[in-house]
Amino acid sequence: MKAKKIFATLMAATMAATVLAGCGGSSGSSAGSSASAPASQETASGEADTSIDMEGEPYTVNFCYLVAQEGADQQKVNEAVNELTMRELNMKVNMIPMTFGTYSNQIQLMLSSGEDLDIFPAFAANMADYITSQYIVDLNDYEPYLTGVMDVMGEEDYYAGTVAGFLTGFPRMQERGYPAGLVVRKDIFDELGYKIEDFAGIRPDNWDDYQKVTDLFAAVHEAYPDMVVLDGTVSLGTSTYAWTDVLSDTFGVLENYGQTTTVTNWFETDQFYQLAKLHRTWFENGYESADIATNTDSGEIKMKAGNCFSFLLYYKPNTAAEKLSQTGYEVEVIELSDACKMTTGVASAVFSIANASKDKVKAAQFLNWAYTNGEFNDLINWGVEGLDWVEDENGNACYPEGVTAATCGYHNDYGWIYPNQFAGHAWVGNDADIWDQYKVYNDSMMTSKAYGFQLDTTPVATEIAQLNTVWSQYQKDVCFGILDPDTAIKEMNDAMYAAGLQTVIDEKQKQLDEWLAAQN
Amino acid sequence: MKQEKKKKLTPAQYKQFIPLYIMMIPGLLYLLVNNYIPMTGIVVAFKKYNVNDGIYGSPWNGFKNFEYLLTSNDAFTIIRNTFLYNVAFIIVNNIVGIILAIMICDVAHKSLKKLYQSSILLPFLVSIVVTSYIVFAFLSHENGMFNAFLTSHGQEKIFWYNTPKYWPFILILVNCWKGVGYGTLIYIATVSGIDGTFYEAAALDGANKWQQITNITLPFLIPSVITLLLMSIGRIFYSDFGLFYQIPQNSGTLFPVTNTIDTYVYRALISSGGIGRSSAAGVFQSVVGFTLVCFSNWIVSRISPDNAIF
Repeated sequence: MKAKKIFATLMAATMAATVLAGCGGSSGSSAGSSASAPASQETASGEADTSIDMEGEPYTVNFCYLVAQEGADQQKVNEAVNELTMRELNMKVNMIPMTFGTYSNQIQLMLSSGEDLDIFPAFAANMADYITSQYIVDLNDYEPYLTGVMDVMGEEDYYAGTVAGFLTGFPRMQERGYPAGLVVRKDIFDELGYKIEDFAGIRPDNWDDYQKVTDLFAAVHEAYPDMVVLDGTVSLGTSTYAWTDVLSDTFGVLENYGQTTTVTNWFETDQFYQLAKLHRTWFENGYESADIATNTDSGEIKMKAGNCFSFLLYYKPNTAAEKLSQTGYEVEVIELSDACKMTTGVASAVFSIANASKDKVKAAQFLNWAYTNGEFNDLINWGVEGLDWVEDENGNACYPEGVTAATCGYHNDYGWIYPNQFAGHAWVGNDADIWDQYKVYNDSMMTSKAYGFQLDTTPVATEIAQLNTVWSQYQKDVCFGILDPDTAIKEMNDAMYAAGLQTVIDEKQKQLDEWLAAQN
Repeated sequence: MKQEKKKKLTPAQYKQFIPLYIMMIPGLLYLLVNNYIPMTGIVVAFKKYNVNDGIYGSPWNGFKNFEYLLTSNDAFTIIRNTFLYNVAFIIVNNIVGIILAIMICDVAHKSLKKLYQSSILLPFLVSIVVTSYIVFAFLSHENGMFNAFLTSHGQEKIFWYNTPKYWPFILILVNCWKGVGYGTLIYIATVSGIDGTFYEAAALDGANKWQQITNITLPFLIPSVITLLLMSIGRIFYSDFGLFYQIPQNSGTLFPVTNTIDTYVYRALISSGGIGRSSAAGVFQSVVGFTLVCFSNWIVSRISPDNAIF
């Protein structure tokens, strides 16, 4: 009798759990049979014909890309893309749009289960895993089909995605450096009598310069005591790309914008200390939001909400125009560091060809085309011309008559994560020659001495996993100045060394030395 | 009754159950396909997985996938946190759940009873992210209700998200608020299933309300309690990721008291993960959970054999 009752309870509970749990949970082994490694056309031998096959049965390319949100006009964009590719390539495209929210889970599932996928954006942090798991193919094998990419990118950047001789994918056309900047609201900035020229040349070789920023914060805090002076999710100390060549993960870096070849622990440098100290001052004086270390809303969101004076970011040539459209406020950008081109920044995300591709040659041809065709880049970024955007008198893209951001059926403004935004239109508000400005900017910046080197993280994967947890524990509290840098930095470094920081630094130095030797 | 149980059934008697067995087939098939066949995928935790060779063909990797989890300096902290929080959750949620169930069953007004029952269950259906913002509304350093209350009474603000000592209580409280409705539902079902004549008889004998509860309701509840207990013990090395990640707003200072196996794995594998290492964590949790279930069932069967599940 009792046993029966228990059984009944058990069943009831299980059923309830099943119903309530729905489709969540159980992320266990998702990989089904992945034995179907499709026999692709082998790499072209010697003088292979690289021309596009316009006659045969059209191949369908599965193209995964990131979007800001699901657009109502997605279907129309798909049709327009297919029409374009059928005309130019004799290929069909199965568009797989993903938002950042779903991307990491979904792409992991698609890759590990060998689902149909030809081209997708891949992030550098996963590369070691993608290579060992054989999710992606070495693009060196398809070089004859990728001459367009080479033309667009230049030889130096073309190979930036190389990990231990394996070309993982191609960077996107965008800014090549990530200097730190402070975005401030222009109305208040002007009202208090400041000029952007007063803030020129603030660089980490003279820490006294940063006092100007602190003084600015103090003035704003006094004039608007209820306003949060600095907010957002970015701190100077976490803006690691702005100060060093981070060699993929900041655990062992090349200091001084990568102008050295000795790998050191950045968290022990005076630079890191000074940056933390600055934030400590801002925090203790109440310039930073008291909730800044737990806040997950970006500075743009905070500024748009109307009670935030400034936030930190990596700036680029058109930051002011971009932030105007994102926050609704005119802004000035105070530059706080120089720009440096490093592998980790350039190849942070690349377009790769998945091993699951049924015809890798056709995929390569498509990828090549995607880097050279402006119409395609406009389509995936701004949608269908005439419906979601039109060209204005300056040659920029803008909303058609009667369409607003709220009613537009497809609008991403994600040019930085698409193959080649430079080939397409810039959004209204940008200078007509914006893409030329980008090119000048990219050519003018420093280049790290290790540019082109990418760490193979496989030998130190365990240490890096453990270091990630230490860094995530301390980064916000130390870098936002919640904790006293005089004691907290030491504590963090101890924890890092205990997690194997020295091993990672040594491995980086070893791989870097080998790479440098191979360069000469 | 015991004797009746031991008596063998004749084939003819078996026959009458055949429809029942047929009805069971779809369920069993589902269990087999969904729960048992995938279990063989467990080997991936011991493999250096690559997609071309597949799960079974990939080269073996020994215990390498487990290294990052078990050799870490935090290994002790995360295992301790996961274990102790779950013990606390089990105890608190069961006690509160039973109390609520008994109280709700005594509500005479039918529609009020339904109202209470639903409102206790409601938090269970609220997304953990929403919950985290509800908690944030109380605890925010800048605009939180608690800090507003403290400052208006001339007290110093408390930096909740940087003070680890409060968090064990906050988490247990939040988890109870959120999860208790589910257990309560099952207890209500049991309590309302108790034959009313027991209470009538007890009342005639002069038993007061408290005596009725301790002598009738609780003994009837014990089988359900044990079932639920064993089920939660099986998951004692799993933690509710949302609870430990979202509710403390991922605040670093709180890690010593909020870091559990699941949040640790998430943070460690946020870059360069790999299917092998994430499975390793799952295997570790399941194996320990399974062992604990067998162990606790063995204890239960020692104390009161009738209540053991198997």
